[in-house]
Amino acid sequence: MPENKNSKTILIVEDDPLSMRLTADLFELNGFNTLCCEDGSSALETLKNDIPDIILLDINMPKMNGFEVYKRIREDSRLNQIKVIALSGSVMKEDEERIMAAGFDDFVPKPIDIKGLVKKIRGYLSI
Amino acid sequence: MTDNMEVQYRELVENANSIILRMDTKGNVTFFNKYAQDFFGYSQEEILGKSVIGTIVAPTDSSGRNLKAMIDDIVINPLSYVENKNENMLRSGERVWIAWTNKGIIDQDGKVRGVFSIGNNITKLKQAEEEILKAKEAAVSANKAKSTFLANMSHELRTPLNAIIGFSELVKDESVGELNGKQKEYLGYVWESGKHLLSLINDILDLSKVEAGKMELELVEFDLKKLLKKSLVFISEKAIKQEIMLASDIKEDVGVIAADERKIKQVVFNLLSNAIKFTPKGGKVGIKAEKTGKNEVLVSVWDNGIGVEAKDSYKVFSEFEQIISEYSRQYTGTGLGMPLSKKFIELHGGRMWFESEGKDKGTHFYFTLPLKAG
Repeated sequence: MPENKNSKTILIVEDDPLSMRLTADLFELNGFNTLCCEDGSSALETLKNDIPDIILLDINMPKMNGFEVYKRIREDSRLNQIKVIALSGSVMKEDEERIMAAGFDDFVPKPIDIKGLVKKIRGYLSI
Repeated sequence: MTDNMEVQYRELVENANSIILRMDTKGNVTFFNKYAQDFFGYSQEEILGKSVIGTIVAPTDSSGRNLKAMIDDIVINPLSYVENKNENMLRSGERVWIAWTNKGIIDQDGKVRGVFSIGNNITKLKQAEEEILKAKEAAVSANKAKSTFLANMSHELRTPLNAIIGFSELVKDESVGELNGKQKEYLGYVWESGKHLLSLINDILDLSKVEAGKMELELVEFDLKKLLKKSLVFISEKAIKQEIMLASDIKEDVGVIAADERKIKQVVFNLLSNAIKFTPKGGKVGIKAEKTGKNEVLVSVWDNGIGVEAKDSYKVFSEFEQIISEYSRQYTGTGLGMPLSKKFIELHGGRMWFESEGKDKGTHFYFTLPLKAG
């Protein structure tokens, strides 16, 4: 998909390849530019050069989980204004509470409601 | 007392099938009956004048409880130990559990002169009690393991479901190209089945939470009347599709209740969609709500559909039981909706039941909710 200068860019951090493909294609179909990272450290690497408009961050990832990645993002003064939305298949009330308590801007349970997710992201970006 | 009577009393005490002893205020044994001698393994000569500590009472019991301190207290304060269970020790060193009744021997000045004790061996009872406690702990931890397993399983199932539901929706909605009729229809089935599987997983998780006593209600005050009316609007599309008429009789005095709104919504929606599901075309489904005298609201969802035969009535609130009939349409329920609804209502301190006069006579489902938070 060619990069659109006027489009918003979403960074997707997700270790499951099919979930990544789904989310990335979904946002590209909806006119977004996407940055895709399959783990936390490559996401932090990407963020050194590219500043996305919004970040979708999976929580349950091996090595560096979503909480750790989130903490690092918030420590970076260039990034601390970007909305970060948590994605997780752990959907118990206590999981959601833990995520919101960590400071995430929102929580989206898996499986994702694709129409709802696009609407939500558009809402955050006011588009 | 005549000699004869004294002999009789002595025989009574010596031959009793209980430990009978007396000790002075220092805890030294001053009387020890025959049963006690046989039980503990000390002759009268060996024990009289000796302290109970170190003979029949170990300074500390197997769990570390300080028994010396207990004896020191009993001889001062026997009233606090009228009924007392503690560990004792046989001469062989074997530990036993005795249920004691203690009585202070009080002199004319009201001073405690000693303690008179009768004891019975409850070691077996105590062991059985410990086994029951262990079994209970094992059951609790097995149940915890089950909940953990369910939570993990739920998480693992969500990842593949994410792809199934998401990709089928993208294709079904023709976001990535046009489809012919059959392709669209079949992909619709994939998507619906994925969603069905997801609601099954959610219901199982909810049910296991209720069973583990971990389901917490988020009580808020809301207008039940509004919720019921909204639910009717929500279900009307389904009713029109099935050519079913909806009726509403919601009284004005059904007002604000304190309850978990999401769960009550789930219950009402479940009752309404069940009523529609089990009512043939051209039938009627209705909702009725009123305040009853006892500070509670009574809601009923009724239909003139296929009814419930007496032989099937046990299935209604059972898990994974669905009444099979020509009208039950495939993939429309998880088999957990009713048992879960009943549990949700009971968590609120309400009741749920149903009435049906039999096959093709329709069904009335009822639930109550307390007007004040239960």
